[in-house]
Amino acid sequence: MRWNWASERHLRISLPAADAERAQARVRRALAALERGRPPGLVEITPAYGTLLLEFDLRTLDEERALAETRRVLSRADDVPDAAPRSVIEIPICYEPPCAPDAEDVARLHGLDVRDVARLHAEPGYVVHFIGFAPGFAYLGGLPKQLATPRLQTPRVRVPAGSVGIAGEQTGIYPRASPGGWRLIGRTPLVMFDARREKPSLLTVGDRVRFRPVHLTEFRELLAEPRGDE
Amino acid sequence: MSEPATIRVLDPGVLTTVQDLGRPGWSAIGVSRGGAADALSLRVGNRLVGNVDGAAALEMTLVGGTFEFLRDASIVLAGAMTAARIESNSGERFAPAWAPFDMRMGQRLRVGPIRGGVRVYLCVAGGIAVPDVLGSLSTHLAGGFGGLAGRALRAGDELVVGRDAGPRADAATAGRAQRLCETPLARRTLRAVHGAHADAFDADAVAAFWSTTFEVSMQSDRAGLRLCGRIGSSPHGGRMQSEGMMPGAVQVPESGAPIVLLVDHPTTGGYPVIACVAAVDLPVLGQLAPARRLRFERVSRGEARALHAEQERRLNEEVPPR
Repeated sequence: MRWNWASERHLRISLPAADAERAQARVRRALAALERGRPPGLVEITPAYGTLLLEFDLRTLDEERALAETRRVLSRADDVPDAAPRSVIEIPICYEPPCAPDAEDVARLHGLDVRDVARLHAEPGYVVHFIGFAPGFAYLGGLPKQLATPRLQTPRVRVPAGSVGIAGEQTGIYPRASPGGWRLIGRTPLVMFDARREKPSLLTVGDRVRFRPVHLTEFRELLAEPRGDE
Repeated sequence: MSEPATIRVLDPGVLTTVQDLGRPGWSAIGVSRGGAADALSLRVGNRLVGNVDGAAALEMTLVGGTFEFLRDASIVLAGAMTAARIESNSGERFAPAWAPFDMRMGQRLRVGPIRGGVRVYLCVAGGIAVPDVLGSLSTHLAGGFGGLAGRALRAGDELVVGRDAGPRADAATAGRAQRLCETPLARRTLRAVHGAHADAFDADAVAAFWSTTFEVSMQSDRAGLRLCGRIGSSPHGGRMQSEGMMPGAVQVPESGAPIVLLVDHPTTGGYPVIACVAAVDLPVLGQLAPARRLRFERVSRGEARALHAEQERRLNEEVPPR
């Protein structure tokens, strides 16, 4: 592990690996180890691509001790096998208009038929690399290389809640209506984040995900649950 | 079952939300801490009316609101300056700042424009009572939860006040509270530490960052402050893989114009971070008005922790907690 202090209260941990998948497996194990055996004073953990940001309580922070405790916890993280394979979470996605405003552009950029975009996107299993940016926004790994597409040059002012986007080799779902620059190729009717639920974020780090294509009629039926922002 | 309301919003002002000290511990599901942008003023205000530090209050921005009191209440206005007025059928008078006073049933509090900063806290003895969401009463605007229905206040909203309050502070304590908070409110130099990616910036950009006088842009909110003023180039073309962020992080995108993250920041971000505002000066960040000029002063991590400890010591000495 590599580390540096990102502020007088934040320790940044970097976990290099041969490829992105292995780096994320290390991040998942480190997150699990830190949650199990919390170093004293650790108040916040933010996992991301190959890194974790740890915030310590300033009132009690002793750098040497915080670092030693963190190293001790993380030294055992890689020995533990990756968290038990979780059940696959199935997410219905409508890849039809008007749910997929950028599907034609994505198809054209890759010389594909618009139906191939949906087929290729729904084919593989995905894994949740981390939740970041906004509440419940899952960064998913596993996007087929043929679909990797740069962001829009000008972000949209308003992306509808549930929109499925592509940005580079990433794919993800917008939990709420917000501005955004990812290319939108589908939309789920599921509520991805609800702070009042026992499990607020439908997806958490390490979850495995499958997309189930649904037609517009089924999408609209499933959308019955109000989201409060539409 | 539902308690009678104490405060009716007649006019919410520009942006008024219910805030406490935020919700730690949910960053791994994308929820930033949030809470009062100037936590020092909120804590002092709460202490003055006999509340615990983390009681929920109303955070007003740029122009405060007008509130009708449906029941008697002991309140205080803390934070930046206002010329608030208390209106009743028998006339009107100015409301004090930083000193607790009583609002009587039927009276109206008109807060108006905010000067010398951008945020004023209306703390009520007993605290604003809204449902606890993920361990906090604060409004998470981007997530649409917490506070009152997850949104900013609107005309017609009614707020219930809790009952848990101790004795309010005397005049001498109120005077000390005002002096304690005036210094941070007047600061034009923010103490900051070496950022997570500072070593990746070229030396000219780093030197420019610590010597430039920036100006706060109009495009600033609870998520972050955009600064006018450029420091030259950002490493990797201002793009990196997303990683964890914190309030006070000074990000430098490709344009070279820094963005300083505030309490409602996205939990992860992809711009290199050149510096991080020290915890002691985070309340200052929450009060910086558009067009305000500022500089950054580099301190070591040890100095940053000592400054924070000193601020806490003075706070507890001048305005003791309940």
